[in-house]
Formats: sequence, structure tokens, C-alpha cells
Amino acid sequence: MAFSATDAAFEGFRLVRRNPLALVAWTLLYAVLTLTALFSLSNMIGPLEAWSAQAEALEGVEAPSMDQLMALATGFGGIMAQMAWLFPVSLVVGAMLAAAVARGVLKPSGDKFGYLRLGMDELRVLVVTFVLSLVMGFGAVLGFVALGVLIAVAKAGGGGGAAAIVGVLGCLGLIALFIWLAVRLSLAVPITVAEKRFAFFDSFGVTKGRFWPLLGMAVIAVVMVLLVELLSSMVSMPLGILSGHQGWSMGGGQDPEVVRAAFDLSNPWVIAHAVVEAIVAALTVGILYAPFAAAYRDITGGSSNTIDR
Amino acid sequence: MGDEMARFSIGTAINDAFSLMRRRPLSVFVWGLIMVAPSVAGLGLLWPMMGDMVAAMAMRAGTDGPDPAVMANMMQFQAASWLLNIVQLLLMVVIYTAVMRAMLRPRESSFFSLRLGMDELRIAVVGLAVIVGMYIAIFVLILIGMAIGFATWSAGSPTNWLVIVGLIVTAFVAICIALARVSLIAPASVLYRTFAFAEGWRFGRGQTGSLFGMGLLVMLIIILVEGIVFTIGMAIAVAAGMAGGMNWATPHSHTMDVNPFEGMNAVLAANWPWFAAGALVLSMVYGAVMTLSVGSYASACGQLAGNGGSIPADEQSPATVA
Repeated sequence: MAFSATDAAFEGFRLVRRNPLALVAWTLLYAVLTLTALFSLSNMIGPLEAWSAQAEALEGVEAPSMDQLMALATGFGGIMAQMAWLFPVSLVVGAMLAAAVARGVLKPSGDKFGYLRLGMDELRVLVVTFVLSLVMGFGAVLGFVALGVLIAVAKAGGGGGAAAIVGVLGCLGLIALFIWLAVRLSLAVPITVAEKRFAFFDSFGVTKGRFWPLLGMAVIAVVMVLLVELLSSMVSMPLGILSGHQGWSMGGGQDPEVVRAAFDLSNPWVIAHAVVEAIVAALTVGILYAPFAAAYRDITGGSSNTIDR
Repeated sequence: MGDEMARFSIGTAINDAFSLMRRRPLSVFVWGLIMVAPSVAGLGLLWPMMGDMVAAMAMRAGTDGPDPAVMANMMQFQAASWLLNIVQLLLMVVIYTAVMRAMLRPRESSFFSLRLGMDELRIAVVGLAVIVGMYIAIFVLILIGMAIGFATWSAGSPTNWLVIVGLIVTAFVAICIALARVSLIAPASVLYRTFAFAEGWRFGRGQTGSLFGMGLLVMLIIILVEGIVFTIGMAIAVAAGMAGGMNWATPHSHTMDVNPFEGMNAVLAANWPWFAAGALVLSMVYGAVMTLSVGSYASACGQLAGNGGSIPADEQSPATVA
């Protein structure tokens, strides 16, 4: 099958239509994660209130001692540590979903548990995405440092006007560079899942000469995600108001009662809101990730012997 | 199939739009009504809410801290207006697609050419992509404008203002020209029943000036038509008011300066037959405006695709441009 950007962009919808239970499985995974996070957050409100009171009391002290400041910092660290588990778990869940979507497109027959697994594929996806994120982040830091140097040189040589022009052109250039890099690396996860190996930079070879169609495909996928989020807000926004979450995000952030209401798991509207958000998140993952797996499948023509056609 | 030498006629495109209005006036009215009715219903919903908010704020005047009732009203108002905006956007997608379908696939005329399917999804995606692209372009233009502004700031006062005005006008024209360049992607997507980004872009090649000019012409026609309708409407309203057909006593009994929304509600309630008749006229005008602005570009797309310079007679989509 020849690669068509507009065809591939729709792969997420095709995948969900072919196997709607996969969406249910992804939603359940997201819902469990969200509700557990909400439960943890609701348990943090009491300690946070006590910590705020301690901090306010310290504001009245003219010259707080180092011990007092350390005690305050340790208290805050202790509260935040209760949520520390969320970061690695979110990374693992993200890797499971990315691998599941790629598996759903590349190996559609293995549809048990909505293609969700927790094995070597997921570990490889986790490592590859983590390393590529680091590379991109490191590249961004380097790029902005280089731009800063260029701006300083331009200012010394040509004044403020020249520095502004260099700054704007440099920023635009960096944005273009990162878009290019992101597109060129975009097939890393499908390659990793299909070929069962750490494919850090193999995506460069597969995407060679196909930058524009892949960028167009990505733009269409992102726009479809925007559309889904726009439509889903018709349901999630009223639920957000009923659950109290909207009140929390609209200026009630300082009121402990409002925050407590937003995380109150005994309120069925809070659960309903979390479930709707989980459905949207699961659908979004499918719409956004599946096109890249389809692009890999169509570009390589299914030549990889590990792809189940 | 369109070729590189293909041209379209602005006159034919605008004539096709008017021809569609003549052939299917009821559809044009229904398209307008579908857009106007939710707006009117929205006003009926939002004005009382704004009236309640103003009344609650007036009662709280002089007291400190946010009132939970006012906050709740504000949240409800924001949610309602957001939902209304989304519904209107969705309806706009459905109506624009219907106009394009009526122009490019005239045989699919049942139920006023209105559908809710893949065509609509494609138009929504194309529309959103164009909006996102436009915002990115505006962002880039602002950055470039800032750089030029910094570079020329030392030139002094009159030059600075000339540069600012020049930049704003240039950016506005550049955005309009860019929108004209991509204006055929949506009708091409309806014509070919696919995401016709490539085909629409190819059709627009060498036609940007004509498409931009057609947009200006359509805008002038719309201003003219709306001016005439507004003048006639105002004349009827003034005549009816002088003849005693409209009730101005009710609003005057309200304190418009304290709570204008409550006053406007009273005006609406007391004169609802006039407003209902006005909404029906507005529906026809709005339907015609949409038919003209969307239909003319659909016709241009049809002409460039090789359908003989007028509304295609056959519903078969031409082969996709290679």
C-alpha cells in the first residue's frame, strides 16, 4: 500500500471503528490513573492547608531561622513526595498506550486487552521516547544558547535593531528546525514496536524524502484532535461545572472548600467528569499516534517480517 | 480535470451563486434560519443571565470579596456562551458544506442538501487547519513586525507611525491573500470527497489575484445588500414606532441605565412579533450572504476542475488531480 498522508491521518478513527473495545480498554486505563491521582490529590488538601498555615505564620516572623525554613521546605517536600509516584506511572501508562496504538495498526490480529501489554515492547518504547525527549530538550537548550550568543554578537556589531532581527529570525529558524526534527523522528515508536528493537534514530532513514507528506499528516491529526476536544467540551464543560472542577479553575483556587469539592470522589459528577476526560484522552491518543504507525506500515510496505498484516 | 492553464471567471462564479439562490430559495432561507435561530435563542438565554449578573453585582456594590452567587452566574454564563459558540461553529460547518454540495453536487438536493457525514468532518478539519495556519502566520508576522519596528524605531515620530500603519496594512493584505490562496481547498474536498489539500492548492496556483479580487467583490455586494436591507428595516421600524405599532412604554418603565439587559429583555418580550418577523428576514439575508460567499468559491473550484465554467450537471466527482 502506497503512503498517502490524508489516508494515514484517518488511521486512528479506522482503528477505533475496527476494534471499539480497544478504546474501552484505553479509557479504563486512563480512568484508573486519573481517579487514583484524584484520590491522592484529595488526601493532600489537609496537609497542604496545614502547611499554608505554617507558612503564613512564618511570614509574621521578622527573621526566620534556617531551621524554621528547612522545616517548611521539608514539609512541602513531604507533601509533594506523596504525588511522586504519579510521574513514573504516567510515563509507563504513556508507553503502554503508544505501544498499544502502534500494535493495533501494525499487528491488528493481536487485539487482546485492547492491544495493551506490559512487556519488552513497552520498555523499549519508554526508553526510546525518554531518550528522544532528552535529545530534543538538550537540542533546544543548545539552540537557544547559540541564539543568545548570536543576538549578543549582533547587538555588539549592529545595535538593538540588528539584534531584534537576528532574534526573530533565529527563533523562527529554531522552531522550523524542531518541527523538522520532530517529523524526522516521528516514526521511532512504530519502528520500535514493529521491529522489536531500540530504534532511536532509524526513523531518519524511513522518513527520508517524505518530510512534507508526514508534516501534512501530523497537521491533519492535530487538527482532528482539536476538533474532538472542541466537540467533547460540549459534554465535559457542563460536567466540569457540576463536579466543581470549573469553579476551582475559575478563581476559586485559594479556597480549600472549593478545591476539596473539585477532588471529592464521593461526588458522582467528579467521577463522571473524570471518565469523560478519560474517554477523550484515549480517543486523542488513538487519533494522534495511529497515523504514524500507518505511515511506517505504508512506507515500508509491510516489508518488516515482524509486521502482522 | 484541471490543467495548469485552467482559468475561472469571477462573473460566472458570482452568477452561479445567484443562480443557486434563484433555483433554491427555500434552501437558502433554511440555511440562514439554521444559523440565525440559535443566535436568537442564545440571546434569549444569555440576556436574562447577564441581567441577573448585573442585578447581583448592583446588590453587592460596596461589599468586599467575590460573591459565590455572582461567581456561579458568571460560570454558567461562560459555559452557556462557550457551548453556544461551539454549536454555531458546528452549524456553520454543516451549512457551508451544504452550500458547496448544492453547487458542486446538485443532484444531492434532498433535505436542503444538509447532511452530517464525512464531507462535514473534512470541512471542519480543513477549516480548523486554515484557522490554525492563519494564527501561526499572524504570530510570525507580528514577530517580523516587531523586528522591523525595533530596527526603525530610531527614525523618529512621523516615520514610526508610517512604518506601523504600513506594517499593519501589509500584514492584513498578506493574510487576506493567503486566505484567497487556500480558499479552494474546502470546495475541492467536497468535490473529490477526500482531504483535497493538494488539489485545492493546485487549483489556486496562478489564481490568487482573481480569488482575492472575487472576495473583495463579494464583500462589496454583501455590504450593499446589507445596507439596503438595514435601511428598509430601520424605515419600517421607525414607521411602526410612529404609528404606535411598537411598544416603547415597557422598556421605559425599566431602569435601562441601571440594568440594560433587563431593559432589552422587556423590549424583546413586548415586541416579539416584530423581532420574529425581523429574524425571518434576517434568515433570508444571511442565507443569501452565505450562498454568495461560499457558493462563488465552490463555483470557481468547479470551473477549475473542468466542469465547463458553470454549475456541474452531474454529481460524479471528477478524477482526482494527479
